[in-house]
Amino acid sequence: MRTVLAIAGAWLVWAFVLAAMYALHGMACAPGGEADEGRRITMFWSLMVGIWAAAVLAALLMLWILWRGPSQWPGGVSRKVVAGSWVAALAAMLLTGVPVLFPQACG
Amino acid sequence: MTEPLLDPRLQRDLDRIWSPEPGWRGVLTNVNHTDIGKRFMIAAVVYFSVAGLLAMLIRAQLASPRSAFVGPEIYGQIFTMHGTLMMFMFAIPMFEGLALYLLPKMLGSRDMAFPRIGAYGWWCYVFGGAMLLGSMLVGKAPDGGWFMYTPLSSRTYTPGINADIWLLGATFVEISAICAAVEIAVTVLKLRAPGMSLVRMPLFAWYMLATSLMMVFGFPPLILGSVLLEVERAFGWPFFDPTRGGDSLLWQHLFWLFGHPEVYIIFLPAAGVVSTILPVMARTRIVGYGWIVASIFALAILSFGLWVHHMFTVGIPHMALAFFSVASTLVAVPTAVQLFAWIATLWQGRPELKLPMLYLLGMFSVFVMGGLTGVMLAIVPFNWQAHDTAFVTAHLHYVLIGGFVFPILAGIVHWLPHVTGRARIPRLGEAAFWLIFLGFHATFLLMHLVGLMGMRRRIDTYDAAAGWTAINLLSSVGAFVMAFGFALFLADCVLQRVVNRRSGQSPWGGTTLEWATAVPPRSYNFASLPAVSSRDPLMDEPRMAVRLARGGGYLAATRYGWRETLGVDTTTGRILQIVVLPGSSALPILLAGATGSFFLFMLAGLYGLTPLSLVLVVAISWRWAWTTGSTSEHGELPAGLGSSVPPHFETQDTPGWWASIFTLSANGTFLASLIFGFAFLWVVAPGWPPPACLGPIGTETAIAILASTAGSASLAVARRMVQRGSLGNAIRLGAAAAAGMGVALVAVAAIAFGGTLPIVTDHAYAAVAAALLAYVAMHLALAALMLAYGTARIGTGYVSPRRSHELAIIGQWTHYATATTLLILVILFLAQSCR
Repeated sequence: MRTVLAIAGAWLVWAFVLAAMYALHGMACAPGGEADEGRRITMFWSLMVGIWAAAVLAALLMLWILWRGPSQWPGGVSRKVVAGSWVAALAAMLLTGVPVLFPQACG
Repeated sequence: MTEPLLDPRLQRDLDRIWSPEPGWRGVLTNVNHTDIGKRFMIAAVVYFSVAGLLAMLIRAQLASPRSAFVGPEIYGQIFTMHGTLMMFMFAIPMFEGLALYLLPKMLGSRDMAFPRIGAYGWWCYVFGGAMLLGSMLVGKAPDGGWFMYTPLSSRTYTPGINADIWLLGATFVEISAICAAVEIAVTVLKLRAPGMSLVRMPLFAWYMLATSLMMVFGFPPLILGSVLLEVERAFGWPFFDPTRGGDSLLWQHLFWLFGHPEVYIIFLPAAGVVSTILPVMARTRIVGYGWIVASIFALAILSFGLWVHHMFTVGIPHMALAFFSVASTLVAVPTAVQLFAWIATLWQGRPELKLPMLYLLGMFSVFVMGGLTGVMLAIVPFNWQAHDTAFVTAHLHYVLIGGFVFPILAGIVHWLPHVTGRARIPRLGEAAFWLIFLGFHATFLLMHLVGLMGMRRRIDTYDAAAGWTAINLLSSVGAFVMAFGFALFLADCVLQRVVNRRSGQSPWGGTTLEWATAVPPRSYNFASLPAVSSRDPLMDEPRMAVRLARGGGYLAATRYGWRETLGVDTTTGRILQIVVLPGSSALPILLAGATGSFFLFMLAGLYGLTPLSLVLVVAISWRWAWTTGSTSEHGELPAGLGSSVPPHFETQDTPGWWASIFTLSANGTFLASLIFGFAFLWVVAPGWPPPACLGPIGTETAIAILASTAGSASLAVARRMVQRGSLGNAIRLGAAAAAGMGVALVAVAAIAFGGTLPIVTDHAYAAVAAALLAYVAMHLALAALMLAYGTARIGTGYVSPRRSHELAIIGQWTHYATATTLLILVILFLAQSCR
């Protein structure tokens, strides 16, 4: 089950980031929310960028641990599958988060 | 039956223990996975046929402009039931049936982990399906489309019981799906052949593991949505009514949180069939096993991040559209990885163009085209243009028929000799394939065009001036050609079963363990259980079937009349326990009947009788649980080939423990969806703030949290007492824990009925708060009941220091009840300031 969790973990982090960014975006754009204040840099926007950056760093850290820590992890196919999943999830996190750099959040 | 020579004494003993009872009683009490799996598949084919006939009616209606073949009301029922039956009554049950039939054999086990749960799921499916089909016969079938959007499906616009039938019938069937999901996940993790580590599992098992986990997390949002909508329709709680603080978009979110993963829940098992059959047809091993496993999980989880692409036109800001547009295009990547692995397998091998291969090639072309139009629809500007047109209908049929129906047809052809023990009839199947393939493209390829020309989906007629007549007529002709193809396919299967010659032991040269059983299989699958050391055990040992039949594997003897199979470590496949499975029983059908009575009372508006159903459900469940376990110690028992392990009820890492974890995960997803709904309405819905907020609830909250925490703590100490052998103290502590939960329940009831809760029909705020309180109350009551059960089990000798696994499961539910009490009451406490 550890192997299953390690593979799924990469994508669970991605799912968490997407859900969190969407939720923050919803709150930011709600009637009476920050969007009505007209500022570009807002608390919710900063949180979205922060979560995005933290997730990317977490994925990089995980890959570094996989690269460096030979003894604690399963070898062979399991290890390749886990590492491949984290690389792919990292790419997905990078791509999915790009819209946070759009000039307008609520347009 | 094609079978290697069996040890006659062993065969007699195993037959006596595993065979279902004869006659009608056997039909009603049978829990054997082979029979239940076959029943699921046969029923699914029946529903497919009904849904197919409805599709023909749709095409007959649309074949000409201004058609008066059926009126708009009946047309609404027809297309709604077509979608509903195909999605809920055919696609999911079909692969559930395939999984129930195949998985134990493929994994080297004698049955699924919970045979009675499988039978319960089957009866729920039958009763729920009967509700849906019965509604068609009396002209009251659901008519709001298979995704039942509000406000169309609310009481105002659908005043009859049509929508109630959908909501209650579909929820009833979803219980069956959750049961199957938990059973499949636990079976894959725990009931494998010794030596079958995760990375030696057949790919089909990986696919089914991912699918079952997706169902655990994917179905609860829809169940929640259905419950809320039914409560709104029945009692007027305004979850989706924008005039009272609700929001129709909440339904869309809840539906598509289920609905998009659903597409992959349907596709992944079919892809598992492809990954199993393709190497056999190509006479080689699968290429890229690890890549495929990684893509399965990528696909499974990515699919949960795409639901908003079904809502691109509801007025979502551009940034959010971009998040989901990117995610929707990303999902093509893991799908493509699998496709390239399959192509590489064909390239590496020496493919034979047998009938299953024809269907696989059909799948390649159809599914890839559906995937490409899916990428088109993931792009927001195109989506805005094509939304709700026949283009989308064409796309989804390319995905579902390409991604599910073609692979399943390949699977049926591949495994039917295993089921029937007979060889297929030459050429009939090939003719059926070409009719289906050509008819399909004639129907749906053209539908893309008419969609791009502006034809909306679900319209019952159109004017000749629109210029769609010729295309629609050709589509209709294509649909009837396809229907002839399906009829011929069915005839081929029936003829094979009835008239043809015996099949060989392994007619296609398959290398997975299901081909090491007798063909057709016996009720216990294997006379003795295999051990495996690679992913293709029959490639390593072609005569394994003979060795196992002669008792050369594990568990080659019977004892105490037990139905035994082996439980292993979830990762390594090391033997941990002998799992003792329950035998035939009337309890599953009785429990399904009691569950069904609840839904029928709701449907008939006899709400006052529903508590009777709940009492029945509790009583039967209690009896069910009581029939398991043992009052005596057995210690380590010989399992064959020099190994000895204890029975599962004397261990902790049991299938039941895992099932409880997965059920709680589904339960937690249900709660998370409800909390999401509360937050969504609070932030987004019009008509907020509410006219009245919760009154002061500090005292009740404190009592409930303290009492439930004390209950949890008492149980933890009680378990420690059991470990020390101090059973008397454990009984007293168990009773105290149950009492703690009872006190917490009273405190929660005081919030609900003590005048602090605003009127629930006035505003969604009060309605959701009441729903949250109902959730807590239900779980506290459940925990109290389970604790009472556990205490009774200690008192009657079913629990001892060695046999304490039941308390571990009760502990999970008790702690969950405490945690949710804390979470929900804190949320409500904070929500007191609602204005």
